[in-house]
Amino acid sequence: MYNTSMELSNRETWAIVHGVVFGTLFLFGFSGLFSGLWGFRAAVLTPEGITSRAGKLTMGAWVMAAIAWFAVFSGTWMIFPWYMETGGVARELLADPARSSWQTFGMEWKMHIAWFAPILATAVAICISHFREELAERDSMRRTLAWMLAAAFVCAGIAGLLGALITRVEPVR
Amino acid sequence: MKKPFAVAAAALLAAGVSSVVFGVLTALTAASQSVADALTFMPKVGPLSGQGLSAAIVFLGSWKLLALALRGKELSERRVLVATWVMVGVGVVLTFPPVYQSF
Repeated sequence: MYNTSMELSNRETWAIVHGVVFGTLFLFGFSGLFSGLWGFRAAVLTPEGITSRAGKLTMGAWVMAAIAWFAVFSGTWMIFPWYMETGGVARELLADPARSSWQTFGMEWKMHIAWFAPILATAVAICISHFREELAERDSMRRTLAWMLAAAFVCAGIAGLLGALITRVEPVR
Repeated sequence: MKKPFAVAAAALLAAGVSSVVFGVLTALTAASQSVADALTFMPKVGPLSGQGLSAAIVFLGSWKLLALALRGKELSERRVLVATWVMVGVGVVLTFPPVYQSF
């Protein structure tokens, strides 16, 4: 009744873990952490609310940083070798002038811009951990961290989009 | 009493420093095969293995060093933030393919 056409290879599974699981978790987590940071103001929160939210922001920031590192490490040390091997995706794209830019620009940018996401996210997590409740009274620092998180999101988003498009053109199998 | 800004400054500046280092290593890799070979910590990954690991190590190391160096110092929050954004910007620009591929 059923055939094996929906089975995923080991490589396809890891590509999904890297892009869909880690990548999506980071991108979705951003919206919650950004809005939490932006609204973390002493002017609109009670002291109990500040204490409660400080803990959630700290945990959320570190979880996001960890996810970003996992995504980058899994991409660099697991998926990328398969991508670059003889007969792999990179060779296929470079051999076709109509598609070579996906490698010479797309993957080249993706594999570099992605590294800024965990670095920026970790810096944000360190600062949130350090200031905790005091961040509610430090408007300038709070906004800066929110924008730094947004920058991490943009970097991850560019990497994710390029990865998704390259996979559509020539997936890792 | 307010928490010292130095700890946060160290983390932010470390992010900037590691961004610049990553960008410079990317450009150097494109410009020099010997640099590319030296940064190839794992052959199957190529120079990216060295670029990425170096950036991560520089981030952690510079954070710790800056935290020690800046402890107790009066710092301008604005200057630290501007320096951080400039350094991150330099790193991002240097890792844009048309830029580093021109080296």
